[in-house]
Parts: sequence; structure tokens; C-alpha cells
Amino acid sequence: MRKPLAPAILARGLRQPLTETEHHDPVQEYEREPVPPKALLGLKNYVGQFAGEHVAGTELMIGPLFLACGVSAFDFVFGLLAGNLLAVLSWTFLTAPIATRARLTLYYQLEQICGRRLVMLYNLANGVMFTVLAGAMITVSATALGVFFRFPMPQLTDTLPTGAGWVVAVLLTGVLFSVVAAYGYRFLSRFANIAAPWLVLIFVAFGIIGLRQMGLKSPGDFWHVASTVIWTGGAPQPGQVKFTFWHVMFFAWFCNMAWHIGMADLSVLRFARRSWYGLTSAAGMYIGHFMAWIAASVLYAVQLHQEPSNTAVLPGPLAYRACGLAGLLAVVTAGWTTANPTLYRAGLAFQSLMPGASRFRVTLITGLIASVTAVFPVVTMRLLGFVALWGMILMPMGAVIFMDFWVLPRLGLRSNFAANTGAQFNWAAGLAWLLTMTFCTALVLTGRTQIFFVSLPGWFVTSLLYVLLSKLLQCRAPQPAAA
Amino acid sequence: MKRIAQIISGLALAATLLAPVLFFADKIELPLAQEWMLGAALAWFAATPFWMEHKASD
Repeated sequence: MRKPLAPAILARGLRQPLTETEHHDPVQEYEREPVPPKALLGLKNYVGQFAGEHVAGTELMIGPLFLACGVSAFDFVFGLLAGNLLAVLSWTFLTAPIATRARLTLYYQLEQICGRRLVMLYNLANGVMFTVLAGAMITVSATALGVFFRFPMPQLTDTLPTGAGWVVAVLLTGVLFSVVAAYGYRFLSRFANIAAPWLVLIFVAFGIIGLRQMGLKSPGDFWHVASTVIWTGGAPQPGQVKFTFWHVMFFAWFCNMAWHIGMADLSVLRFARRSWYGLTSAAGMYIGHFMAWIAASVLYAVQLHQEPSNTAVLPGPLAYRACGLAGLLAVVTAGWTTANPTLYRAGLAFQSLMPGASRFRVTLITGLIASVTAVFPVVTMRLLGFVALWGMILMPMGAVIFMDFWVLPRLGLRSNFAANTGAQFNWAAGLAWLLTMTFCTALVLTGRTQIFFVSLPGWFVTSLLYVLLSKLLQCRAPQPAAA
Repeated sequence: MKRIAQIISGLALAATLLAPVLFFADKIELPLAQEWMLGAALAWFAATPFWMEHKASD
């Protein structure tokens, strides 16, 4: 997964924080105008940004869950290689070409196409998903407390809180995170930048120590140990889906679907000098979603090897077993630095629905709601499914942007319908989104396909619906006045 | 000061990586490797803000 960055940080790259004056001046962010040539960023900014933000707290849950899903070594390693390549290509050939031509934020581009009211609905969906994800990060960090206070922590199949100790630990962690997100977002975003290089190396340490504990003595024996001891491809743990190569590949591809196919990274890549800078996403994919997932998965393999009856996926104890207090520090740091911008982003999304409300209050309330969801481990223990669901919900708007930018003009239809007609709600986009979600949900609920794959047909359904409905809508809508 | 902080940060990152490698090679025991990593983490977070923030405001 990924740490969402605040607009100010997105705009300038990680190494160029804004001054206070700039921070309060929205024009400096180019939020409602194309980015001018003088503000474009070079290749190095993107390598650093992608590499740093994809080593997030979620990796500590996702890696072990692959193993809990009974994946084999071949399916895991080659599925990740292929899926991450597809993700990089999606950034490069879907997101970046539009970003470097239009040079607009996702929200402004959506507003031009869909109208303000539909963007508000999109923000609501985004805010809800960010809140639940922040809750999962609070859960991850709270597992570090369990190492010291030894209260009962959730098992893989648990959906309800496991006792008063767990509830108190999660709520304390959540309240702390919420207050910091509301008060000191910029302090913690700087802390996240500082922590990023160290976190990457701690994940490397997790992998090295875990592999040695699994009996690996020479790098040349890696494949033998990996396929016969670590990822043996057996039955999944109770409550988990059996993962094959295709599950791993699609999960790795769609894990950040909201950002590449869903086009959220238009806001990031609009500053890129060239569209091929999308290739720099490989730094994030192959450090965060390859090395870090493998390392975290090895930690869980060590636990299963040493205590076969202990199937709980709890990042705190897993990291402590390998790296001691430094491992616990990494769990708290990774969880906190992911939860903080996630809560901030959720707060911004909700605030856009209530422009009069203060960001502080909205972020605080969002954090408290996330803390309550964190008490229930159901989302965290089903994180793979939740991530796939997130992609499914937000992906259709990416398909709408793609078709609106490339296809509609070639069919003689108008792009940016809302901006051209003054519409507050583009029904073609809204219906395409709603009908796609209905179609995908029906496919999943009737067992025709699993949540991990459904977004692929979903993208084509949205694209087709949007073009057809746009044709219908634009035939009936008034033409814009001649200039 | 900035130069010293950068050196400490570099050494901290090196120790973070070296400790698990030495454990892997059976040169040190795990508890010692964990102590190295904790010391390295503290050194990294103590030293890095001096130069990373400084660079950011250049």
C-alpha cells in the first residue's frame, strides 16, 4: 500500500516543504490551473518520492497475509514481479500521459468532467476508505503495545475485540494518532521523511534475519528454502482465500489501483517533465511491494515454524521476534507515518463536503471514528480483500477520465462536459460509476469472480458505459454558447 | 555540525544493515544484532534531523 501525501507535499516533492506563506496560498499549489513549466520537477524527485512512500505500515500486514493464503514460492515471487510490472506500466501509460498533458489535479480534472456534486460523492467514498485504512494502521501499531502488556490480541479469524486490554490499547493509540494528525500534521510528515530510509533498511533486516531463522545459510539456497520451508503452497489458514499466481499478480497490480488506473496520481505526476517519469514508480513497487512484502511474509513464516499453532498475524510480535526493540519501533513508525497522512486525507475529503467546518475538528472526529473501527480487527485481518474493494470503488472514475481525455473527442463528443455546460452533476459519469459498482458487486456476490479480479472487467464496463451515456446525454444537452 | 550529523546517520544506516548480515553469517548472536539495530535506530533519529531538514530548507 501507500502513504497518501498531503497536497502541499505532493506538489513540491518530499525534499521541498512549503513555507508558511506558500502553504496558505492555494495558487502556489496550482490546484485550479495547469502547472506552469517553471514548477516542473525532475526525475530524482519522483524516484525518492515513490521509493519512500511505498514502505508503509500496511506492508507488515499484507506480506504475512499472502502466506496465510497458502501461496507457493513460485506464485508469490513471480506473481509479485509480474503484478508490480503491470502497476508500473499502468502509471506510465495510463496516468502519466494525461498528467503531463493536462497538468491538473485529479480533483480539478474530475470537477471539469463530472461537476462539483459528483466530485463530492467521490470525496465521500474516498474519505470513508481512507478512514477505514487509518483504522487498520492504528490496529497495526497497537499490536506493538501487546508485546509489553501481554493482553490478548486478535487472531486471524477474529472480527470482534478480544478484551478490555486490546480496546484500551487501540483507543489510546488512535486518540494519540488523531490528535497529532489534527494538530501536527506537518511535524509528522517531516518525521516520516526522516524515517523512510531507515524503515527500508529495517525491512531488509526483517528479511535477512527471518531467512536465517528459517534455516537459510547461503544466498544460493534461497529458492530451495523458499519453496520447501517458507511458501510451500499448502491450504490457506481458516477464513482466508487460497492464493494462486493470478491472485498475487492481480493483487500486486491493483493494490494501488486508485492511484494509477484510478488516476489519483494525476495530482503527483502533473509536475513531471516527461510522461515516462511514471517508470519511477518501479522504485516504490519493487522496494515496498516486492522486497518489503517478501520480508514481512518471512517473519510470519518464522512464527509458524517456531510455533505452528500460533497463526495470528500481529506485526508487533512478528517484528519483535526478528529485530527486538528496533523492530517494534519500526512497527509504530510505519503505522503512525501511514495513519497520519491517511487521517489528514480523510479529513480533507470530508471537509470538502462541509466547507464551513474546521479542518482540525473534522480530522479529529475522523480519527476518533477510525479508532473505533480499529477496535474491530475484521478489516485488518481481511486487508487483502479491503484493498481490492478500495480499488474497485475508486477505479471507475479513472476509466471516466481516460475515456473523456482520449476517446470522447475522437467520437465527436465534448470532453470536460461539466465545465462546458455548467452542469453540477454529469449523469453519464455518475451512472457509469454506479452501474459498474453494481455489476462488479453482483459478479462477486454471485461467486462468478473474486474481488481480486473484478476490477479488470469493471474498467471496460465503465469505459463503455461512459461513452454510450455521454453520447446520449450530449445529444440532449444544450450546446455551449459560441465564443 | 551538519557534516558530523551526516556521518553519524551514514554509520547508523550501515549498522542497521550490517547487524543482520553478521547474524546471517553466524558472526554474532541475535540479541547482539538486535542491540546494534536499536542503537543504530536511536543514532539515526538523533542525527538525521540536523542535516535532512537543513538540506530541505536550502
